[in-house]
Amino acid sequence: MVENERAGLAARVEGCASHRDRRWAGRMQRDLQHGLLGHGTRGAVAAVLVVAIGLLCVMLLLPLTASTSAAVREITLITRDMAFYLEGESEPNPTIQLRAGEEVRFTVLNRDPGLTHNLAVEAWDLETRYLKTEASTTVLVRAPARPGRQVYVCVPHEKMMRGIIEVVEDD
Amino acid sequence: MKLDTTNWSGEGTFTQTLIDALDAVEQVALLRVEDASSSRSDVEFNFISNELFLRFGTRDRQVRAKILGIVPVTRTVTEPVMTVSELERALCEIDGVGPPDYADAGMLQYLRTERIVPPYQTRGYKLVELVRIYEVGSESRQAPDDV
Repeated sequence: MVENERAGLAARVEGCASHRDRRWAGRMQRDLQHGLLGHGTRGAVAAVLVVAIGLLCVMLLLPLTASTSAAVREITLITRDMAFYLEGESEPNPTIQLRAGEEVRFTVLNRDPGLTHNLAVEAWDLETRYLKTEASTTVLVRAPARPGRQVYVCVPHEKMMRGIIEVVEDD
Repeated sequence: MKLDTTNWSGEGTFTQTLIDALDAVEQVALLRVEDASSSRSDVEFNFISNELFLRFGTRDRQVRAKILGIVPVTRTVTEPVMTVSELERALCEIDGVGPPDYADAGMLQYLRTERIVPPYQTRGYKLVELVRIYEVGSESRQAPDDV
């Protein structure tokens, strides 16, 4: 739009023939150079500033939106028949896969009558309290930033109740 | 006692001890032995899990009652001659069995562990035998989310 106005004014300047017209044209030329062009520059600068601020806001807010969308992952481990089971699954002592840096809430529920169990990951210095039958506990952990494999066990039955937590690269 | 071992592999020394002990308890009418699905083994352990389902013999008992609280009647009630708690006490007194590791109204649980070192080997493995005795017809123990 600024370009159109500028082109229109230029056409009118060229069209003025008399001295007065030339003076008028000269004034118009100055207006064109200093006035209208000046207004256009300020507008463009303002527009660039608005875009830059917008981009900055997006860059600042993007990590916040990302962190809220990556909610804490819930993993329920049920202990029964001297083994860990993921809730609803039948594989004893399964390999649990986590993403690097992922926040996970482990819930351990003891469904083994008459037996006391817990959950421990030595590499993370993590050990829950001992759970009697039908007792449960929750522990919030953040997976390591680097991929790797850690062993999880039930301390009193670590020979039989032993599995792997596999930390994989975050996509 | 009627014994059904068609779904049992025969693994478990203590399980056999229990079967023999239960055979000696005359109140037990039926015993079915099964391998539990949780049995498994690894380099360092051998986990044997067996389940014993039993039914006690029954007896009829005459019970006096009143219809509408006025008319006296006699009803015949059929009831088991033994309860799981009574069986627990009976098994406690048998050599080689002893008290269970866990007991409730419908189940007795025995856990036996021993380290086995095979001949000519320095490092053995742990043998764990878990035996659960259930009374047939008692309330299901399976949790809703169990599979």
